[in-house]
Amino acid sequence: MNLKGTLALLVLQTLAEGPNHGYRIAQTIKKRSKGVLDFQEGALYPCLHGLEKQGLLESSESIEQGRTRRYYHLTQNGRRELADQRQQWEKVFKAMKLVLEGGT
Amino acid sequence: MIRYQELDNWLSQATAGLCDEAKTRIAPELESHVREAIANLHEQGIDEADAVRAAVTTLGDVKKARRAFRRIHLTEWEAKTVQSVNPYGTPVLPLPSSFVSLCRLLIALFLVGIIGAVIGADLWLLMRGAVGAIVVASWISPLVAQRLLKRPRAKRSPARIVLDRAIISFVVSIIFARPESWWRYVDIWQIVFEGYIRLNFATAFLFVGYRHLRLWRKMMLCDKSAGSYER
Repeated sequence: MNLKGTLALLVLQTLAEGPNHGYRIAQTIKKRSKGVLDFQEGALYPCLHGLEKQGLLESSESIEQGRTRRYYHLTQNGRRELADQRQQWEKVFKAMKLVLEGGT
Repeated sequence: MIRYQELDNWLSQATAGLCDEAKTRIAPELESHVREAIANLHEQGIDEADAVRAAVTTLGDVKKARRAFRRIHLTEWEAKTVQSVNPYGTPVLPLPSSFVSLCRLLIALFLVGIIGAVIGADLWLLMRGAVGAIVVASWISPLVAQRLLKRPRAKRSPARIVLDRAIISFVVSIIFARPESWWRYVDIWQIVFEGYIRLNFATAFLFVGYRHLRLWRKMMLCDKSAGSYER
């Protein structure tokens, strides 16, 4: 499914539950959507880096089992942005539902 | 640690043209991602070669990834440009930094000046406008440079620099504001100066302008407090 424009929201929501690294973020999104929201994992990192540059995320490196992992977590601005984006998305979702159900 | 050729190829294509700082940020992170995917696939009973192929395939189209990274990270040229930005902004009278660049500039000015003379268009008004624009830009640039980049702060306050430049600009404007001023009658200076302005306009609009716009767009993206683009 085409995730254009929604990947940032999915990433922010995943990180709202706690710090995580790229691979785990990708797996969480895929698992929760039962494979419907399948995306190219290479696209995840430009998205993460972009959100970090905007000050919505912060990251730190750690070494676990011999692997270097970069953990991301939400900043206060990130939480605000998530709330805004969720609100907008829910509005669109409700409107779409009304149109598709043929309501007046 | 075992190197995987497919992964290395993907990474080198995805990060091609990016600055070293971006490469050292991106490559280990993606490598760790792919190694974790390989380990998971291996645990599921898939042999290593297939696991590597599958893990790299899940990264997706390398060209799309490269475009996406270039929208976020600085390219080599952009990193050099950021490095070369003076913390005090653009000087009022930009001068070439070496003998070679001075020679190049003079040759370019001579050629463009000849073309200007052949075409015969009077660029006097344009020149004055350009000089005015350069002067105004030089006034504003310390404030912009200090605000946009995390860098060694200017020792003097930007307001003081702006004041100094206003004084220099005033002196410069006295010379340039009067068409009758002495240098107007020295043909070689007129040709050189017209050439200089033509060169600036052509390069700024056709080539440098586009690259700078892209660079500034990236800089505007970054959170000022995060200071993402360090010098």
